[in-house]
Amino acid sequence: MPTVVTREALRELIHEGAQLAEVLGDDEYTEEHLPGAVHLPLTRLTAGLAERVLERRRPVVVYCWDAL
Amino acid sequence: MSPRAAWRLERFGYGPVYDYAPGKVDWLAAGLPTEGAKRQRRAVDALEEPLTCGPTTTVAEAVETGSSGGTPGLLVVNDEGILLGLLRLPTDASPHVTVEEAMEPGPVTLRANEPLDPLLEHMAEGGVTEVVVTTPDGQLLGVIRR
Repeated sequence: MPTVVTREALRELIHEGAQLAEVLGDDEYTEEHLPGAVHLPLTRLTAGLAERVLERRRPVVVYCWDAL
Repeated sequence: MSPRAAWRLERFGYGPVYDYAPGKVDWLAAGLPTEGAKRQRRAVDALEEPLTCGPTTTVAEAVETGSSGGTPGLLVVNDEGILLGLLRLPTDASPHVTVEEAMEPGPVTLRANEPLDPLLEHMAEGGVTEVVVTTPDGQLLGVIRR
């Protein structure tokens, strides 16, 4: 079960080597994303895409625009 | 969207998977750095240092701090940098009471992700010379002056 994290916990996870993935669309990612975040759009999220952009051994933090 | 993506990644065998549910808007609102090709100007790009004091400062001390002028008042913050109130200057309050007794609690604030150009236009239209910017947690980031 994925764990929901706050901003402070996110910063700690990044510091510890977690990889960050934005799941929004192309325009939103291109316009502005969190430092170092890879693009993993939910609408095209397949095992193959995940394999290409994520490292298996590192924790993953996903985010979109907000919690709504 | 992010909860579904997180569950899907777990299904693909990734782990641990975390969901930063507050999302990009929370990051931007806290004034933290971003990357991108079409980044627009935001309030965070125009922040200036505000005049501040602690809640236990006397009004006399605060007035002295604010005497450099050019500000509608002093922002009152606690030791953690959380914005508690605004002491408008000049003030009719007794110089012997604490700022906490004389301040206006809960001044209006904006977040750091506010688009800057429309903000400056609204300030000009309304004759506003200074607005306060805090994080979503209430931490004072600075002020925008016009």
